Amino acid sequence: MDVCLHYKSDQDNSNDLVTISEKALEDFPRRVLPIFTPWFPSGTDRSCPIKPKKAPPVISFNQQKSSEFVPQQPEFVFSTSHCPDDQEKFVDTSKRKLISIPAPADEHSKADFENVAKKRKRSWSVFPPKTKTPQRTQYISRLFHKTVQRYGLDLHQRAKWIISELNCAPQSIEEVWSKLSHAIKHARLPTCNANYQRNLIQIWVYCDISYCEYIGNFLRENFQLSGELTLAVHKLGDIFKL
Amino acid sequence: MATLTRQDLNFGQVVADILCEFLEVAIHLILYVREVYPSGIFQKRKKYNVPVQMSCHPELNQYIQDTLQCVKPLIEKNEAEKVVVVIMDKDHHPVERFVFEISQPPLLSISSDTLLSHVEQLLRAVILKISVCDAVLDNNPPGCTFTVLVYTRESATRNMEKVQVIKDFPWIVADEQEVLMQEPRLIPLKTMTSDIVKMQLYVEERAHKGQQNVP
Repeated sequence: MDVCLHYKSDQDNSNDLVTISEKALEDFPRRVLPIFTPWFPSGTDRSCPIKPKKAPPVISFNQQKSSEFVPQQPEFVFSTSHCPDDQEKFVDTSKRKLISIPAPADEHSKADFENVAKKRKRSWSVFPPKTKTPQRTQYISRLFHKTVQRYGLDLHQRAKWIISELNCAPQSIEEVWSKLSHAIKHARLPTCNANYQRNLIQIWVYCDISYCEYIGNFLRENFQLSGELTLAVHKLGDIFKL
Repeated sequence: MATLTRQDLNFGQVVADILCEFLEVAIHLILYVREVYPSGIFQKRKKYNVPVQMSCHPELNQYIQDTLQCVKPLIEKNEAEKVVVVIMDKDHHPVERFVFEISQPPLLSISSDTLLSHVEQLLRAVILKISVCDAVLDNNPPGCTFTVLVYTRESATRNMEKVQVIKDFPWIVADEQEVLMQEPRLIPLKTMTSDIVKMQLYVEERAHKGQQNVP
């Protein structure tokens, strides 16, 4: 690289000028800048999304297989307080499927239950409350277990009990609906929601397969239902009668 | 046609209501279409005048409702940029991300008589796209689970307090592992533009779903 220096003719100190020029061409001193780190909220933080801490529920496909459907070892304590005696007799321990059910509140007597039910606002659909109730255990009978296996049903799959007008006699279906709404709202029927199909004059009580038998017995005993109750599953139709 | 700001007639709340309702339907449908849960827990319902699949499992339904109830205040204040439904494999690495990118105009030009029916038509189109998206996506590996991520316009930590609406439903900043996906395939599904909200939905799909995602 050539450098031309232009200077006024009256300046005679050419040596000084050369020195000054040389200095001007020297590299500037440089220092390494520290990396900028913002102290509050950084761009990285902005790009981080948020998510619920709680994980969603896991419902396994494999539960349909019978080997996993029946637990190898009992994990819960049996309670026979809500099981009919005849079921208790023939259920082999190895075939028992233990599931948890909320206990009905003892203070709710049937009479009280009916009185409150009459005052309740009517609705075509009813859902359980969010709050959890104390848990007890229940099992599935061998007969129902076979049905579940035959159709390859998932324990968390929904099924519906169909209560028709004939099942309700001598009560009216409206009375049964009123009592049922009250029971579901007070978390006495685990996993249940129900619809009143007024055009069909039927009540549809939806629940998990694992609770079906308990729910069926509860409906029959507490609402004094007569005749056969039918259990239906979406796409399969009627699968069980109680 | 009237021009309103976001404060007028509490439009933020109206938009949040509409979007949260839509997101609930969309999440149920995604979980069904992508087979995150057994098909037995779903039942056919009608929404936006089209058939959709909706879970009947109370625990799952509650989880989705709680999540959206927490997201609602962010949408209401126009602070949610993206709501992402992430489907993850057994090792909690994302295999698919359904990204709902939301934008709300500061000024609203509204002709109220056609507004709701128009928005419903647009949302219906998005739902229909979700219901057929399995045709353009590869099958997911077995044992997948899901989570919902919310990208905020400002710092995530600043918005953390706003989403803690439900006492027993805390929110945290997502792990990098759950967010990052190596060389994802981008599949645009649908965009919609209405007077009150703009939204685009696309899917980010992991290239090799059978293999583990190494960030």
